[in-house]
Amino acid sequence: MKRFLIKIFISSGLLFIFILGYGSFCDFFFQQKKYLDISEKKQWILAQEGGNWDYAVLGSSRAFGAFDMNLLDSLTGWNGINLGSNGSGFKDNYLVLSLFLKSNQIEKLFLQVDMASLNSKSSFSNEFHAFTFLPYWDDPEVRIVLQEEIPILNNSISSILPQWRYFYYNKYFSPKEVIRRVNLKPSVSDIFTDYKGGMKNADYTSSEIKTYVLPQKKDLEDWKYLWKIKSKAEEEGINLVLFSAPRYQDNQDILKSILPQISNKLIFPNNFDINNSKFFKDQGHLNYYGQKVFTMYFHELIKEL
Amino acid sequence: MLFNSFEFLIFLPLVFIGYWFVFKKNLKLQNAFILLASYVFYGWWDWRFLALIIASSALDYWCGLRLSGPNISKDRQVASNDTSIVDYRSSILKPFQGKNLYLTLSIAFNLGLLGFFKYFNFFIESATDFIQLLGFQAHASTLNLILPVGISFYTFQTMSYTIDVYRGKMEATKDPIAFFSFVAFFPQLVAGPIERASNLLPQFLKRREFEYQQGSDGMKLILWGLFKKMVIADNCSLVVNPIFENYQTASGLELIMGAILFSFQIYGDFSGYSDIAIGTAKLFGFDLMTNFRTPYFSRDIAEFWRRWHISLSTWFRDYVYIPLGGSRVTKTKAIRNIFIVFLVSGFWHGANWTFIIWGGIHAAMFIPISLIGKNRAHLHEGDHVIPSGKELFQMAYTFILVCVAWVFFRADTVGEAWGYFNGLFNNSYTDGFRFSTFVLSITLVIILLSLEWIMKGDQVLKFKNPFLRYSSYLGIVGLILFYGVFFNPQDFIYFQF
Repeated sequence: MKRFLIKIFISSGLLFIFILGYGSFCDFFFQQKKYLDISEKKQWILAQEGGNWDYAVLGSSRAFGAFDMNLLDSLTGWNGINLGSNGSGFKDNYLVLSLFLKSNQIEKLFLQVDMASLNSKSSFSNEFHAFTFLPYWDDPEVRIVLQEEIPILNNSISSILPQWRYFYYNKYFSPKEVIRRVNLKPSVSDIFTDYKGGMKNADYTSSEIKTYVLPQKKDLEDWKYLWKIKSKAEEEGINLVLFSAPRYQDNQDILKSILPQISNKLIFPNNFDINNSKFFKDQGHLNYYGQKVFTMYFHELIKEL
Repeated sequence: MLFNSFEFLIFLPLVFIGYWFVFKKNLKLQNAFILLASYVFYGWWDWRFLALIIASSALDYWCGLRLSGPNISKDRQVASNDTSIVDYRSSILKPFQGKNLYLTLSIAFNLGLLGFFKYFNFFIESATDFIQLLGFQAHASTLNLILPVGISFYTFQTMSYTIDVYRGKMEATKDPIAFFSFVAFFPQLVAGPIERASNLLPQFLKRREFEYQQGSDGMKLILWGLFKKMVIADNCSLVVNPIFENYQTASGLELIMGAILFSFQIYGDFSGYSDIAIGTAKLFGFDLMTNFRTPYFSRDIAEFWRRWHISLSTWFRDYVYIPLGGSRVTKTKAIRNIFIVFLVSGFWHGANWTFIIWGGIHAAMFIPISLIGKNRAHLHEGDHVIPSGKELFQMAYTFILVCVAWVFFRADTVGEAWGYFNGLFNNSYTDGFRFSTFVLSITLVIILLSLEWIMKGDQVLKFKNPFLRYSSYLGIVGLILFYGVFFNPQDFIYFQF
């Protein structure tokens, strides 16, 4: 028994040291700006530093692709950045904003809200991307959210050996990924800077747009994070405006009834022709033409604020 | 509680310490502790179903005592009476007379549990479908039943006890704690191996000493099992599940890859569980029976069934096939017996026609080999380092047959399985196929097969060369850490049976 236990203790000790060592390496490596994969939108956002922005757009892919950022800048005379990213719900938005503000400043924040982002668990694309934030575990705001949202990161192993989280999400932090990141060529992978974080939408119109009905009730978890974003904005002295991006044939009555609880600075595309399929590439996303039209329309609306 | 869960990581060392350091000196207390730990392990999933295990254990314990009691002579008296009236009466009453009563009670209770929780809705729905097929109107009224985890395993295990006592193969135990522990022994409670009372129960009745070699072998099996489950099975599932969910639109090559990788998913999943179970039992001084012996190296279907889920296939052999007459009957009856065993075996897996067809396919593949007397042609493993061309062909051929049957096993309905095969022949072969999707799973499967081939005939990870041995430990740990699926792990497939 003694021999067996000694071997078990030695093996466990070595395993502990290995996890600690590799995890500490990941803590260091994956936070390095030069090793961020800026071809991925959230990583591109996290790579930004020293920016002083008149405005920022935050939200899911519907915010990401809603604006021609260069056009909006020229119309408003402001200097803006688009922080929207595919599949982001409010948990992602909150942490992206929180980390972005550590080394950047924003004056106005346009936050995109819809019933999909208020139902991240049932929405097929807005689930929380915890792995993006794992390297920022030492940041209390990040750690609290991760522990709240991922129960397995809230157990005693995580408190004794928090580095093990990289093995839990090993798909994103393997040695193969380290090698890939080292070999990234920044000039090739930066596809967002020219569009100020936005994107040039495809010049494509669907012949038949499939429509889906979004949930009719808000999820309280997502609602909580919407409030957290509001508090964060207040804390940082940011002027927060909530807006809804156009959605083909969508009824936004529920949003209109609940969002005033958060803020009275609201923008709804009431006079944007949401029944015109020429503006859309699918139900939730504008095409190249729709993006231009909505950007100009949005410019008119923000004048009234 | 899952073997690959955080809870089990805490549970196992605690039980190990209590077992060897607190209760070691008193066998009864040690058994009681194992029993308590087993109930905690099972109750972690749903404590309400503990009542079923306790009821099944209590009844079979009592039946066992009665079966070995004085009724035996009375039964023999009835059986030996040769007048026609008594013959008639005894044939009707035989299951309810003497020791037969207790055997009948045990089997009826255990199969009743299974029938109610596992098959009730299936029978109701099938009967309704049949009535509707005849042109009558019928509406099914099913119950919203939860299938208690492990019920198919522990009911079979406990039935083996009463049958063996009835047959006089073993004495009934008078130690209730040992018996209850035998039924609920946590390493193999929820997904086997389905132990025979004659192998496991005596181990509860004798004092156990910790042996270094046994403990070390146990740890190696646990490591190997975790590799098979977390690295092989769960990675394969990430590729296989989307293919089976979208079989209508998947390309022919994707469907082929889906069937092949599912074969490794289910193997990694189930044999991985068995390895962890056997390894865990070894840590407590118990030897469980081998459940898998590199089945995909089989050279024919008969050999496959000597290597796949051995504890179940031998259970059916001993308690169904041989009592039916086995192969020592006319050819027609032998064919019938094989069909019965495979169909029942398929049905054991689940209340779905897909499993019955899966069993039927295996029967259809087994019968020709049996009829030409070649079913025992490959009793011994080849000892070549490199397999011959003939062996490779036989293995590949057997594997393809097994893959075909697995499609039925994996599909949710018979229609879905047909649709899968239909897609194989009618969908485009290459549209949408990306080899990169499969690279990781294929690489891991090649590693698995290579290691299994090297370890063939030897015990798991027991290389004589220390360098090779420690390299294999490090390699396996590295693969688990970097390629194991920790995030959103899949439940063990056999939990649903």
